[in-house]
Amino acid sequence: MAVYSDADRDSMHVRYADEARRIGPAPSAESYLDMDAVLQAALETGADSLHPGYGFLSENAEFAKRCEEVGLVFIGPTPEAVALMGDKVEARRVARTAGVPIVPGSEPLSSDADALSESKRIGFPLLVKAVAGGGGKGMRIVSSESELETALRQAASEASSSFGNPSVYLEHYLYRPRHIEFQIVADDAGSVVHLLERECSIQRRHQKLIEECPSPCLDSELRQRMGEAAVALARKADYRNVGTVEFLLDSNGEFYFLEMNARLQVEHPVTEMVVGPDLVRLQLALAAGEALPFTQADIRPHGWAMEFRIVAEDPYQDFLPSPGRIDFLRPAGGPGVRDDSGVFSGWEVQPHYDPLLAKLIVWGRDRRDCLARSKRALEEYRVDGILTTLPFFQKVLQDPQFLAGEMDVGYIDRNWGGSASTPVSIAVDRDRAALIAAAVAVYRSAVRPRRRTTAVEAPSVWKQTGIREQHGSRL
Amino acid sequence: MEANWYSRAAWEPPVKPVKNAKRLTLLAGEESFPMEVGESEGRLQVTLFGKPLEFDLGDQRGGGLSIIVEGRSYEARVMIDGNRIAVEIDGERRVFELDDAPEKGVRSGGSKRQGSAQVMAPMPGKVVKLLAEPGEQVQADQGVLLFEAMKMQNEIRSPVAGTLVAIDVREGAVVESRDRLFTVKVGAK
Repeated sequence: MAVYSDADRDSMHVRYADEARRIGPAPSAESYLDMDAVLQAALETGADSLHPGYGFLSENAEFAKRCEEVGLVFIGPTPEAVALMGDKVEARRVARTAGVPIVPGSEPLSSDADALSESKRIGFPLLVKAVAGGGGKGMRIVSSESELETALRQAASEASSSFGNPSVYLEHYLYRPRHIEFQIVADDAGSVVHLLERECSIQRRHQKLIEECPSPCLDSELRQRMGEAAVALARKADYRNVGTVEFLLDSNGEFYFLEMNARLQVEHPVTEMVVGPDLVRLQLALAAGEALPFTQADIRPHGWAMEFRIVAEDPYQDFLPSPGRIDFLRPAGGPGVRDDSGVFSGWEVQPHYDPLLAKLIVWGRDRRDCLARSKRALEEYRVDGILTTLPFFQKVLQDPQFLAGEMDVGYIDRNWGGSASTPVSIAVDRDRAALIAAAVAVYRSAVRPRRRTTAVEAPSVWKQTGIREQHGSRL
Repeated sequence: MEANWYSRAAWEPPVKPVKNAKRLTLLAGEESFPMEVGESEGRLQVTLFGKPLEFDLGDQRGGGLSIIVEGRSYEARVMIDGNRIAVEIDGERRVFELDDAPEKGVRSGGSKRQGSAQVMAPMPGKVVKLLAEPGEQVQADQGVLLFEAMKMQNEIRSPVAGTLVAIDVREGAVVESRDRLFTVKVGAK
């Protein structure tokens, strides 16, 4: 059973659900964030449990509590654990008591004067973060005292409009850290297991764009220590279902607790490809009270996986959102290639919601194999009519630093200019091809008015091969 | 080494008749590329600086253009927006400005050169805050207003250095895609 807003009437989750209920107009405050509307739809359809997805109400403790009150199983952690981890200051306290290292920071700020004295204690550079934050919203980097006031104002205003809570705090900013997170699973009997790490350092404004499992920078000793810290934290928080403990790892190999996401994460497929379990299916089993079907000793990496978030943003214009109609769509296929997508040819990308269109996940025997397959899959993947992050991924996969696994959370800011056009020289084959393409396209649009063709996805030989590889030659 | 980028038969007089020829000049940065496109024996012929280019163009199926140059196969994605043409090959974007009236010696488009730049809303959204006032001198890339769309705030910057002659929106205004936000007159007052 699915719920939808007016803007999502044609979405795939609505079309392929058995039952679907409209819960309001396009703005999320009047639909996906309207607890009464969502709960009413769930009760009317006779649902016994509710999966909150990611985003919207998925990390809202009040909503988890209200599900319980009306007799719905909330597929996720307990309302208490959601509340605990949702409050970033409380979460840091829990980490400290669990013996997990944390980054130096302040309590929620009460005034500008408070901010100034705390900033002097913690030292610059520092981060202004929203107490109720997540996904990079309401967050600013401040490199000196003169930038503090502006950053506080912007972060508070963004926090207020995104989470309805303008409260912010300060945190010490680490130099070139990597973002490493551990997937946690926990059952009602109190068993907690981690399903290895994900490297999510390729991010912009704290929005992840590429994630991989395992991380190219962890050795088994560090992996074990970080994994144990993540499990200790989850135990201390009396955590249930699936969750993610995020760490920053500095260049000296010191790690610090960043936050815990009390929900399924967008990048869950890379863990599934390398470790095995279907995390959504596991969520359902755990919510139904089942025990974990494995122990920590069973968890071993198998190969390497990467996820590329195909987002409707123009990487050549500072990642500005690019809503519009998808005229043509050809997802990549083939051995080890998975496309978790929510769009199709003819889909209108809405300005109302997060512009994530699809996730391309690629698996290989090792990182090198995974990179080779990714390069091919990214060439095959095609989205026309709007701009996406696909060309950005193609460029990153040509970068020796990334190929060598050298990255940190500042990678994009340092290596991606954002707006510069590649210079053109007639002596370069590729540039002449670009000139020819431009001239031919102009000519065709002038001589022959553009035909509005129906976009048909061509059958992919790679896809057929992938199906054969996965299901054996009997197919 | 000077690469032999033009057709090996360039010195031979053209014998094939070219139909529906169209001249255009593509500008990229400081460079200017005069070209001509026409049909010859059912195929497209493209010249650059008057010399025919050697290439093979694929059927236009499955989105984008397939072009083979010197045996290398390129998949190009072309986006035309007014006089601006962006071509992406292997993730690299090259941006050309189309000058389709080169004979008259007049450059079309490029509001920059006409003395002022108008900045439009890139998408529907909300003006959160004005960061500059009309009449103020602004630098290229200086933020003029804070714009919120798709739950993200971005600074909309001035494309040129000059005088901010007009801001067409107020704080809190909800705007549609391509609504004019502000105008900057190039150069000092």
